[in-house]
Amino acid sequence: MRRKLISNYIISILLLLFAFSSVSAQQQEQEAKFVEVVNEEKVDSIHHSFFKSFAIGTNLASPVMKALGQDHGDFEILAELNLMNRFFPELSFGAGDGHVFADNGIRIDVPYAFFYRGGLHYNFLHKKDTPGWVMGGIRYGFSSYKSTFQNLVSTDDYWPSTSPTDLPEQKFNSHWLEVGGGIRVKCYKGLFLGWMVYYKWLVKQGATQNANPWYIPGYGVNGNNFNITFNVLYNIEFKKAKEDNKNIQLRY
Amino acid sequence: MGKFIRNILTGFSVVVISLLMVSCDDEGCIESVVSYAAGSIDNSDAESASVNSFSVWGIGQEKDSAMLTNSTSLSGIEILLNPNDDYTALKFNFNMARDTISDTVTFYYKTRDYFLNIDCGSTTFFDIETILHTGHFITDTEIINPEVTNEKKINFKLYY
Repeated sequence: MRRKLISNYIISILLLLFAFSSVSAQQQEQEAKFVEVVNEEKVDSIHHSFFKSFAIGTNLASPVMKALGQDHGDFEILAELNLMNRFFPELSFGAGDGHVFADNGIRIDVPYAFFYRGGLHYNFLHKKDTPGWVMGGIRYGFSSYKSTFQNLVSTDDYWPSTSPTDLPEQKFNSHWLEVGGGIRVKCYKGLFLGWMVYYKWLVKQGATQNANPWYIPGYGVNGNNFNITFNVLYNIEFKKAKEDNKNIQLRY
Repeated sequence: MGKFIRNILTGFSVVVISLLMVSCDDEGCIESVVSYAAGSIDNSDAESASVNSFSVWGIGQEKDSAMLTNSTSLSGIEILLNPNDDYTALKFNFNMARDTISDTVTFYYKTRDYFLNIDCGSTTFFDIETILHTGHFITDTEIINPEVTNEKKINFKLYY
């Protein structure tokens, strides 16, 4: 199982490198176009309308990892507002499931369950009209889900081991927080690609009388404190923001 | 600006890849998978004889081996309850200066299978309901914390 995980991670690293290089190339192309249009120092004073844009997207990292053989994964849809090119409130929801047959014989099944997440990001480059954003922020997540545990055995070095037993279906409610940051880069028209890295921790694990959760939809495996996302978003500018941008272009 | 963005992209990618490398490190099981009932043997009468050491056997244990042999730590004993049954009878041998006195202490409890995590697997937790004893040396027992888990806490006291 460990070998399988390592191979998954190696593949994911290759994917990361590939996507990074493509994003970087797109980034350079965008920058070149941008430099032709405006002088960089002058752009510092750009006025951004309050409701600048709205984006919908998804995180591809988890579904891709699951497709590569990971024993758990989730899919989500996120919606994000761009306020003054500075604040980015975000709401997302999705569903995830997990199934594992561990080396110690324990089998755990987590059927598909929904999760919900909300948060706020801050664009550190809000004064610049760059083709991308460097962001940091915080998110809160919640999921209510069920799990089944089979073949539990208790062993100590004095009494005989117990016979394998199954637990009745366990119901968990978990809450967590994520703090992190990353980048989003405009690649083509309204299409944005981006990486985010989050440090996450469970505010409430939701352990039952018989079990700690193994996999939490939206959070991942219990005990893993890092979350890496690869976001694809389509950004729609509001009419007022479009006019503002047109005026900026005319000024220069 | 272009250099600035490129540096950010490069730095960020290094962080991402480093985190993935860290994720590959399998820590294994780092917590106790055994639930010990922890307790102490206290002197309730200042004039009673002092215990030099004591040994503990689990009655009905297949190998008939001692759980504790000539232990001198009266304040911190850890015993293993039988997860296959709802009671465990333990024979205590108290070694004094001149002689040895035996008592049987029986713990009655409910068992609870518990899944810890994928690396450690599962264990059994116990909820102690009653402690009975013979009265050759032990005069009383007390349940301090009935829940026996893999976290260390005092569960019982034996008085002599």
